[in-house]
Amino acid sequence: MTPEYEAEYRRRQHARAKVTAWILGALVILFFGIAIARMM
Amino acid sequence: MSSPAVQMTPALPAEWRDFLALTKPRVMTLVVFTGLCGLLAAPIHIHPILGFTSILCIAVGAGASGALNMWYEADLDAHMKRTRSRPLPAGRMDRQSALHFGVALGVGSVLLMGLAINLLAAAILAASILFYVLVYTVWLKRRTPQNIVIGGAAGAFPPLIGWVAATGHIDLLPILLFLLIFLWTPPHFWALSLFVRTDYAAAGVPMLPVVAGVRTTRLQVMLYTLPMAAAAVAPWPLGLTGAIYGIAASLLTAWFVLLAVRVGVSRETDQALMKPERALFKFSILYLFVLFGALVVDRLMLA
Repeated sequence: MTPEYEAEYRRRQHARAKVTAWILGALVILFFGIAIARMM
Repeated sequence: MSSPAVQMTPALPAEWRDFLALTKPRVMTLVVFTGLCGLLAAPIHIHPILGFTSILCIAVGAGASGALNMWYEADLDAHMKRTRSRPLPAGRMDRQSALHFGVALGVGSVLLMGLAINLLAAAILAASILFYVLVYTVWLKRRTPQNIVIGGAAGAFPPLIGWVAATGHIDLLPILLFLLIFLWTPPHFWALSLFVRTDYAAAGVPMLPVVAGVRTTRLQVMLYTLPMAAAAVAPWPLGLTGAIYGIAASLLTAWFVLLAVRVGVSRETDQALMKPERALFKFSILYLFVLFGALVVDRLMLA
């Protein structure tokens, strides 16, 4: 694996991890909102 | 004697944008819009967070359908100019990732709909995903030129799901909205397939213009437009909507019929010169957006 290839590999992994984290965070907020809405 | 160690270079992971592309975001906009209109047109008020969740589930369910469709059709997509740059045929993603992604989205959207909204909405959402993937993509698309007619039902579910998410039951108006999209799909897709038919022929998809010819397709476009027009206008005389929707539906549908007749009487065979077909295809998208927008305005005014 060349250094350029490895850098690109890491960049993609990092970008995917960041998007996944944002989605999980949004889901946490959404589930909290749903729980509150269902109780009202 | 031991063999020399082979150093394998791992394949690059797909970009997150490629996963997004699998969900067919452009198709999703119409799905989200019609689903939202079904939800807003319902006579029962739903909590905004639950309404948002319903639309999110419809969108993610549509994304799952798109991803599974691309997973199954990667070989077809590679043969068509319109689709060959998609993540799978372009080699930017492996098929297994697409399959896992599609299944995860589908199961997640149905579970969330069932747990947060209601079981009927979840059941219809599951049916729409399975219908699109199994009935349309796997079963019909490569076998019959009527693929679009029956497959159109899959795209007709969102307003029904939106309505059921708000009310918990099925009524006449969402059934008419279902029928409207169901009957709108053939003229919409056949108009497109007329001017990209060489693409479909190259991929071996038995689209109507490829199998039955351009003339038959044009006739079918006109024929399907008539029941579609009836379904579009019907809510007004049936007393399900007011004059705002009624007048908008009448005017828009009259224009749609006029464009369909222009397609029907056209004798052009050169795809590049098929202006009436392109005009009908473009207008058909606008038609659905404006019609559903008028429905919501009308129902909110009535409320």
